[in-house]
Amino acid sequence: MKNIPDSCKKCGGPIKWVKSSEYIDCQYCGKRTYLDTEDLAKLKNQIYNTKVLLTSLYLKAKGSSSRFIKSTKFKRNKKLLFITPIASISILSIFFTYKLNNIDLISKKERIINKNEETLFIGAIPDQNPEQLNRLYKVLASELNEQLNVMVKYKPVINYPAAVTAFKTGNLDIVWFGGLTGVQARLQNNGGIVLAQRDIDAEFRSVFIANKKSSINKLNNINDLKSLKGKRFTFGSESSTSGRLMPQYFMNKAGLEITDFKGGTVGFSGSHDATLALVQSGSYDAGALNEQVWESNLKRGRINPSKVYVIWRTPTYYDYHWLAQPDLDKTFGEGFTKKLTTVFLKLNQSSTRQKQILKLFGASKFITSSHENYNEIERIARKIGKIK
Amino acid sequence: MKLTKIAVPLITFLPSIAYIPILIEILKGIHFGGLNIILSLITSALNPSLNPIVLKSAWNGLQITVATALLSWTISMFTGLVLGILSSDIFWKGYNKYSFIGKLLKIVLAIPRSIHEVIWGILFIQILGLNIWVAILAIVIPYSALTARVVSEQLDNIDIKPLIALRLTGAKSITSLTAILCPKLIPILSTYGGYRLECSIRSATLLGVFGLGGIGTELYLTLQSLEFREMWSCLWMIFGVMISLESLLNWMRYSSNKEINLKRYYTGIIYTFLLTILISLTWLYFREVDLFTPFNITSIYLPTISEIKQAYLELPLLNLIFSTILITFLASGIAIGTPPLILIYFPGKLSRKIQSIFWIFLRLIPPPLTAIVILFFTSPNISVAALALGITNMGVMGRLLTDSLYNKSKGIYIAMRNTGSNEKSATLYGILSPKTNTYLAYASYRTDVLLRETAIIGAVGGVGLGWQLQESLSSFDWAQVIVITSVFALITISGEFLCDISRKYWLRTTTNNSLTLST
Repeated sequence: MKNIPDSCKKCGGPIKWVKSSEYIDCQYCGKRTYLDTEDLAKLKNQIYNTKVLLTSLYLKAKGSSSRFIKSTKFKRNKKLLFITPIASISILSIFFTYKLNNIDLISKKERIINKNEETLFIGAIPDQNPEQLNRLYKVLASELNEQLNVMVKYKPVINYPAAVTAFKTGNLDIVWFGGLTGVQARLQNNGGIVLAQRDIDAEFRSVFIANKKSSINKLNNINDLKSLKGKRFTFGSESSTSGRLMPQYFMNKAGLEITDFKGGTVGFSGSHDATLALVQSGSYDAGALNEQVWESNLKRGRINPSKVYVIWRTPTYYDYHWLAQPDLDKTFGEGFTKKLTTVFLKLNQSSTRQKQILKLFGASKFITSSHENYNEIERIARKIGKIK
Repeated sequence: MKLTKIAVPLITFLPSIAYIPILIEILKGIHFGGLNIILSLITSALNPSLNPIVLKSAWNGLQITVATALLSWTISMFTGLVLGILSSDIFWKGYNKYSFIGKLLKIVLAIPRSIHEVIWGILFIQILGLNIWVAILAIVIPYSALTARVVSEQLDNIDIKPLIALRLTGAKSITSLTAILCPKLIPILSTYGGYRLECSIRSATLLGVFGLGGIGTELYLTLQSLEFREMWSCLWMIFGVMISLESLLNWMRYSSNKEINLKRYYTGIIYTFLLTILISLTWLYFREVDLFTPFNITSIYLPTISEIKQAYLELPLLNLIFSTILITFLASGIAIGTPPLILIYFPGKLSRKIQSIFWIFLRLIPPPLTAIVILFFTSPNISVAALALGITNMGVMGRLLTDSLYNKSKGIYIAMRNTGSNEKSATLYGILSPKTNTYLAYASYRTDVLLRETAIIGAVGGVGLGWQLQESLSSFDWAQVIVITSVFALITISGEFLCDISRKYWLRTTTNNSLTLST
């Protein structure tokens, strides 16, 4: 028989079987060996039992249901088959129309918590990972909620044009925009108030990076950008200020058009992180991205300095900012926009929550800003054709 | 001398010729700089993030996505069915006077079909604002048009003699139509319907990027920031949904195959439709999605004719059209040619099971991710976009192939095996060959979809109409958007016309298929 082991599994010592016993302890190490692999058999038996049980249950259910369908009682009431769904639909539709007309019902719950009926919808064009983002906006929402005494809800919008449009249609009250998208949103919406920006946004830069193998040297000044001619080059997203608009502007300034690159065109990797990874891998010779993303990746050890390096830092320009709807005061009460601005400006390192917000934004504080700061970006965007 | 004719099953392999130019291009630029990123992508697949914050928000998003997909699937199947019947020639046989309505409808339906869901989404956000109904509408419109096309073409392929006979016996035209059409709709509904549901889950995921809620937000954010571990948590979740959906559909199909009682079948269908609508609405309601926010309709800026003319002159249209068509051709070559090839090279029951899981896997991975992965070991060019698109759609074609094999009796295969032919040729002539026509018919629909999908992949190489459309949308240049979408529609309509002709040709030449070939 195959099932009788003749040596101990643990120490390999020989086993002598006594005829009547089902198991035996090894005389060398004391390990108990079963005659049949009993555990396995037990398990098999259990599985079989459950299977039988389930099958019988299933058959019973099937039998009773088919008996029910065939029964005269059911046949008599066949009309019910049609009446029930129609009735339930009509009841539900009544319920839904009722809801539609009494939208206040939903917010009643909120009204008890908050005396203010309105909800402030915040949005952002995110360039962080979702875990950080979920944390960031949860913290920010509760901070705003506490300080302003209004309900705050965060709506993530990843797509740049969709975020601009959501601001235009009034679905978002305040939005964290990039330079270009902020200008687009203001123009589309016929107005918008620049609330605040981070300390780093007033002197924002893009970096041009290159792969070691591409043999592109560090650039001394803007005119050296011409040495990128004929290389494979990638931007980030189409609507990104630091990943596309400003780099393209400086390239044009140096006399370089986007058709001058290899293949007669440039790539659009979709995000700053993708640009970095693609240049580092060597798929593209060079690329341009947000300086902040470059620095944070450098800190996290995602950059291999022997493969990719900065060839040029652009001059500074204004980038990200909080943009608010112009009529917030009407809906939330006089002076609301001002209050909102002060909340942002007063964020500091003293409270742990505020500290967390600042850290997640990658800033040490927020500063005032105005829409005039973005006139330059508007001019450039018009020239490049991102604003008509 | 006899005329040489291509063996029917070989026609399905023919498209894979597209591999040659693509592989040449890709091998030319191959490099190993991205190897560590690819490795980290693979290892994080086995080690996804289990961070509770990520998992919780992904789980919430998944529920919204599935509910949205269910709702829009149901609505689109229903409207698609109605539109399909209305646009079929056979419906208007009874009312010859008005048959132009059907033809007109057919042409009109090509326009919603030629625009991608994401583009519909952006357009609807312009009008309706951020609202869950935007996602539902954006899926329903192109999907209804697509279903309508499939339904009307399948209906027009059926024999009309019974209809004429019924009419001659004096039956009313509406009665005779119901008698003829109803049984023919069953296979379309059971195969195609289930497949559309899965498509709508993928589309709902994609539309999550608009802040309408759903797992798409998480998925595309992680993709953008290259956080692979978190990305895989999302992907595995969607994978689970897709697998369970597939097994559920198989089970339903298996159990409905036994006895088809027309009346009960249609009652069942009506029930499923109503139930899914109810379930998904309540589901969304309990996930705190604002279903009842009234629409505030915003008027959109309409460009003047002279602006459109200006946009038309500005755009390098010829160049764009050429590269778009090239991508579509190469991608559809890969998508259509690979599944039959793999089926023949790895025949057998077990391997077919593995294949179907593999196809699910390919469908799961969003095309932008595939594109980036390919980019990590080659230099950018048009074939990267084509390959990325082709791989995702290969999953879809593979599914359609295995699906149609499911419903097929294996008589010829068993007979050939018993007479001693080897497994490969038995699979070729016994299993694949009888299904060639259906497969190629679905392939031609897929080419349509591929053309639309260039809109989301074009950005990779910065080429094609798709990229230009994204660029114009992000510049809010509506005149250009109008020009590009009408070009898309034009290509779709002419492509359909060509497909029609080629399919008719194949159907005519391949009526007596497998037996003549093996001699």
